Amino acid sequence: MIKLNIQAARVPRMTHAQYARYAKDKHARLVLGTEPVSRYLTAYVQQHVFDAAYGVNAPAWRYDSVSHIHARSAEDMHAATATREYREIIAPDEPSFADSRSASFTMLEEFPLALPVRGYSSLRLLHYGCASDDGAAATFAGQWTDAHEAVLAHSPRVLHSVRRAVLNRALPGPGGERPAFDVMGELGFLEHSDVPAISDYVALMEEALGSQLDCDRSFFLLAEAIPVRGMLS
Amino acid sequence: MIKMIAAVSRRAGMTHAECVAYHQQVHGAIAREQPVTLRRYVQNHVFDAAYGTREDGAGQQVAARDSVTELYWDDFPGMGATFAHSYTQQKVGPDGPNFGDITTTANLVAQEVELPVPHPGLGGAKVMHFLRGAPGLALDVFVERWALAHQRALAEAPAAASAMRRAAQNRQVPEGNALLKYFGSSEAPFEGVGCLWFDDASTIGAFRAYEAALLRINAQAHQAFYLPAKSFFVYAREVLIL
Repeated sequence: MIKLNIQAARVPRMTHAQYARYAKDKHARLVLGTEPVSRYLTAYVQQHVFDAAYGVNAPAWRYDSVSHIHARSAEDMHAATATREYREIIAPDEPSFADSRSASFTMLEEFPLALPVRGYSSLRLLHYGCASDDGAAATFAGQWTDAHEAVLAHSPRVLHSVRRAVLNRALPGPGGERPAFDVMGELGFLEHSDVPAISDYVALMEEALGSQLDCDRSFFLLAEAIPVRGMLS
Repeated sequence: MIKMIAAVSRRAGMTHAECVAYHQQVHGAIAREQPVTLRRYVQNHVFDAAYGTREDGAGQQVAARDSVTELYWDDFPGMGATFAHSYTQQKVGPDGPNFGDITTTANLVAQEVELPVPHPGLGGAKVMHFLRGAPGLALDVFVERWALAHQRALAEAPAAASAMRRAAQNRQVPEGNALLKYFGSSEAPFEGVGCLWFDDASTIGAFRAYEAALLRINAQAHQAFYLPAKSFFVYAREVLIL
């Protein structure tokens, strides 16, 4: 299983509300209705950002959504974008709402994180982290997992409403280049009123990771997850 | 009355919710404690926005705005007295970086001019349309063309005019520009900010028809007054601090 993470910001002169409506009502329908493309995708989730915090050296774009596209393999993912229908129907629609200069594509590998209760949730924390030491990127996922388990052990209240916890390790680009971030911690939680606890979780993770995390390049997004294909968990 | 308007982007590491909560509860309380000569203070907490124009391939704006401050004084001496006061310099000013990135503040000193609308009312949601003047256009010509464009836009977009509950133009007063250094921004002052009130968030979208009419009018060379690529608007809720 492979997962593609696409962060994007809206085009000029568009409000966030217009962007979200277009992505949900038009673009999602276009992808689902284009069978030669959608048959390669096992899941497609749009996550519409309702708040965020960026480090001082994080990307300058203020993202409006993050799409997660799942396929059985990297070959299937490539096959989907290589179809004539993708090139002629779906790709030309993307500039209607997403600013192509903002779009950031990263392949991810998922690993579950410890959690006492699992279940359905529709809100997401997407916490993008960069290792301080470029050479430590390979071990950073392990450090992130340890930090999460330490937070869970010592401050379980911040994870009270969390029903999904996944660590996404960013894979190098096709040419072997380092991705824009090293890991993305993904939590699914229940209510907007849980946001302060989720912010506390972020602060505790930053504290637990200490100097291993480059806070200036890291950022987190709070979003509503909309399943376009497949189910949310 | 003279006023100062400043659109703030939150500081690094802060969410929008944290920024507006701090702005209202902490910064607002500090300002209320010793207003000096300040007559009125309104915060406008942003809930959506759009920047620039689709025709602008360069994408000249990425600083998203979180809150817009409006400060009112009787006159320039009153404004100067507030900024010269030790409380402002030692308490209010230094608190700004706790929630805002002061280097990117979009601001101006302005005179507020109320304009008639067909169906006046209170209006719970507000558009603040920051206008960057067309390059080389004298300020008095900008003001004259903007006023005419507003009247024409209301006529060309009757649904927007009908939904509008109040309208005001904040026209730059250049004599006040020197006082803007208080906010520490590196951006040049905007030439104007149009404020338009609608009933609530569900009807505020009517503004887009008015804005589209403004763009059409502005596209005529003899009527052009602003630079859409460097202008923006926010949708906001007013919070009265003082």
